Amino acid sequence: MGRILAVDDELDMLALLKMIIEGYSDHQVTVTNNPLEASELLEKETFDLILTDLKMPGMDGLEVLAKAKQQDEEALVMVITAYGSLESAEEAMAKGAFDYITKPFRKEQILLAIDKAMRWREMVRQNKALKQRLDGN
Amino acid sequence: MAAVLGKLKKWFARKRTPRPSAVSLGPPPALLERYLRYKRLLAANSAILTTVADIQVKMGEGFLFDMHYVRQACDRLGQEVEAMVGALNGMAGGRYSGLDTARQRVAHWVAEELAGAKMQPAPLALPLREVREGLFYGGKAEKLGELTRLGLTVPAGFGVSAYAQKLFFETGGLVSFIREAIARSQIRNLESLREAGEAIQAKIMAQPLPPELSQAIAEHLAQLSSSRVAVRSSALQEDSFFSFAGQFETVLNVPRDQVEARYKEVIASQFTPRALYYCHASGFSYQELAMGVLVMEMVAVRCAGVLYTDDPRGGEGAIINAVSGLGSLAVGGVVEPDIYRVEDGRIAAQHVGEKTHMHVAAPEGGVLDVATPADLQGPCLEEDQALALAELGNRVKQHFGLPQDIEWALDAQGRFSLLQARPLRVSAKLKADYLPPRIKGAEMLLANGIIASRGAAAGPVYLLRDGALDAIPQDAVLVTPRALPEYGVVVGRVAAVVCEAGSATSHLATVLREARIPALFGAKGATAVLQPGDVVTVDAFYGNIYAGRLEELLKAPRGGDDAVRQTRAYKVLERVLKHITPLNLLDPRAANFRPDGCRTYHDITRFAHEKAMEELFQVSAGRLDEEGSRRLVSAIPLELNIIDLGGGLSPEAANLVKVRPEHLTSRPMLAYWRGVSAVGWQGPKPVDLAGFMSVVMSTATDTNITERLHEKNFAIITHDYMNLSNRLGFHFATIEAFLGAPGESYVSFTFYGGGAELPRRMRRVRFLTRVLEDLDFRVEPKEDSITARIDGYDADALDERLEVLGRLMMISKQLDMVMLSEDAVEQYYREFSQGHIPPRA
Repeated sequence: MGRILAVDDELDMLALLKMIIEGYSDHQVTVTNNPLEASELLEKETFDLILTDLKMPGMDGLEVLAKAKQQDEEALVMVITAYGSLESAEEAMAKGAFDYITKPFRKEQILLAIDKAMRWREMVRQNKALKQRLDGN
Repeated sequence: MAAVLGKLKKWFARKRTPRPSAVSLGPPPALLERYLRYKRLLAANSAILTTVADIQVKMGEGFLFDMHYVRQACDRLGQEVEAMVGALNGMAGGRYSGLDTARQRVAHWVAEELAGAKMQPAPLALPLREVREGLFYGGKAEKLGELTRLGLTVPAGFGVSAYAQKLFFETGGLVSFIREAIARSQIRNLESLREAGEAIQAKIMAQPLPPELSQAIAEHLAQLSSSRVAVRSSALQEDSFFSFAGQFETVLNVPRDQVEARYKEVIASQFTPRALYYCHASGFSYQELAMGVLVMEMVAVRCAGVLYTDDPRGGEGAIINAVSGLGSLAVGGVVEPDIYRVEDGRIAAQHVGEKTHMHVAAPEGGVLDVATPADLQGPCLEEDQALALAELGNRVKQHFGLPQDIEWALDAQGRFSLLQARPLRVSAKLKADYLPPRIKGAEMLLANGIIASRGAAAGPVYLLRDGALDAIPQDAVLVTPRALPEYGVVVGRVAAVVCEAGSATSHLATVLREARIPALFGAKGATAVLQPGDVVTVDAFYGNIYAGRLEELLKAPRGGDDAVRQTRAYKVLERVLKHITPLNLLDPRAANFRPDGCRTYHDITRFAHEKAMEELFQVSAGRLDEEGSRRLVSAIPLELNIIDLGGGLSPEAANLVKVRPEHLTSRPMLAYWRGVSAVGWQGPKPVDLAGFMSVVMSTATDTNITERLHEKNFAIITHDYMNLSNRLGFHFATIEAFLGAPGESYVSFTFYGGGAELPRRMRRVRFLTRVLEDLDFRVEPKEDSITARIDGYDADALDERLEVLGRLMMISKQLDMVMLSEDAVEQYYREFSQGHIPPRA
């Protein structure tokens, strides 16, 4: 079970993400339509995965990505982008996003992408633990 | 004699005079413009059908989309439909202005649906049993109104409408205060949004209610018997914004004299930083931030909780959560509730929670958190009570047709009350959706069809050849060579549709998706492989057809997701689509095939496309002259002038006045010419004297024919288009072909005249009709004339038919002369079929 933060100014999309992810997996989703609130949440809490829209008023997804990376350089961020704005998704990938997904998408797509991210996170954790054990020896 | 010789000399001299070299070889601008408009119209047609297909797939197959997607798709459709209507009117000199009126009408309907229902004046308050949908009291109050009318126990109460909130906001300058506070706040500063929210909340609390609202609340309160009430929010858009923007205020145990203040508190609770951020981004409107409020008598509860009529995690049975005292602690994890799982009328599992504390009504109002007395620490519900509650839930579920999430309370006398009911989202397990691409052990008859409408269905095969649509039996699998729009009438009768040709963006595919009828297009060989009457299963998930009935496939969910269907974006799109996808104009020959018969964007698209083809056909009807044309020179003595509107001739021919067949690059022209040259000029058929006399007589009396005999033969071509008007012997033919995308490609053919007397000409028409019908043309013969058309096939299939048409024209050029009897019709038909029509695949 992981903790996911979802950030999107479109309320419908947020509602759907929460419903779908919580309905089909064991992950818990915290949602906000305001990237500033997301930024505040990232300071206070830790999340296994951050899903963020790219284009939002006031602060864009790239800033959410930067904030997450500033808090934890291994933070996993997946950006959600509208079809036709792939360049900004590529920019996000260059800046350290783990993955991107274009909307509209099928629920299976987002669930598989989340699954992949969570597996990766687990692998990194295990790696770290093994390394620490080796270093300790 | 000298005069005759002189004339002959002059004639020969004229024949040898070359054309002036200054003649322009560029196409006539008017023709080119008409063709370019047609191409623009086709591009719009394709964009519209593609967008509609995309919307239908996104809606039907469980995609997550938002209002941004909905608006963008509607904008794109609106623009393309406008372009299409504009292009048609450009081609037709504005004759279809009525179509633009229809377009504006539909655009208006779409815009209205996107804007959502406008809040109408409604009573400020109503008793619960009178609250229904459409009065703007919010979902919670509407549902409870429904349950009350159903005869279930709901505490007495009343609703305050969202319209009352509008009235409240419009008095005393609240609206301008809210707008200014939002405008002053900084979107990039959370603290600033918080401050603005607090300022708005303080202003709302300080503002007195309008006297009429105050009075309405007082009057309804007077009807209640309890001294304490609950004041709860009842949002208009429960499932989008409000479902996660934070729980709005619910105030329990309110003394009567505090109801106005608590009403304002509930209203004010909307103005959170999240809501203000949203208002900043999209502008403040009543539509987004309007709520009804519910005032209900407090129940003297013993225990309360939540009942899920189905397991939200997809398991079996109903789940009941129960806590002692008020239900406010049943969810949220502060207190461990009792949990009952009820399956098939028995308690399948029970867990008694450690209910250390509970909420009770405070004497002065509000709620007290107290330690749970020992006598209330045991199970909240007896077994028969849990079963009765589950049964109650079942009634509610059956009434609304969906699993429900119900708040309930049990009083000291053991009576249940329902406090809220809303649809429950039950998750299906993801793996349950998985369907293998190939069903093991099943006989696959066909593979790799294009999925035109997703789903699976089974039924007996019905082969449709020639438009006998009325004869299709109920629940058959319709199998047909092509995907024609008029097949839309089979909706409601067939289980599935299989077409050998056609694309997923055709008119028919749109109609079938709308009706949720599984369909495979491009299923080559289907009419040969599938045997009439045999039961088959059409798998329009993977594009296959199996022998027999495969329950495994038929049980598979078609796609889509309840959660998605409950979002605002989905509901809006569903409403908008009613003005977009239905096709009412199925048959161009029907009386409603008129601009004012167009009720949807799809109708307009279909009408405009059909009429544009007619307009394009007319390109050769006007008087064409040799300006801008070149002579086609070949071994066949056929005088033909070519007008190239783009890509119809190779670049080497750019400056040539005379071109040869090898210069042709127009695909339809090349196909036709293959047929013409395969037969060659075999000279006229031997003509008997009666036939000859008949020619002389009929040409002399038919002024139309005498006039047209002076016309030249023209072919207007592009790389994918041909409009060839042709005089061969004494008859006239126009062959038009467009070989583009499958949904746009067609060949049409008109033919009339001839040299012989009418009965012989009519026999030739009968001969042509038989051949053309064998080639799948739709033929309309009328005395000695024919109009025929074929569409719904891809360009390759039409290419083949154009070649046959070329042969047919050469063979039949003077056939009327020898059509002495009906036997001749049969004889020439047999000869042509055997010698010139390739066998079917």
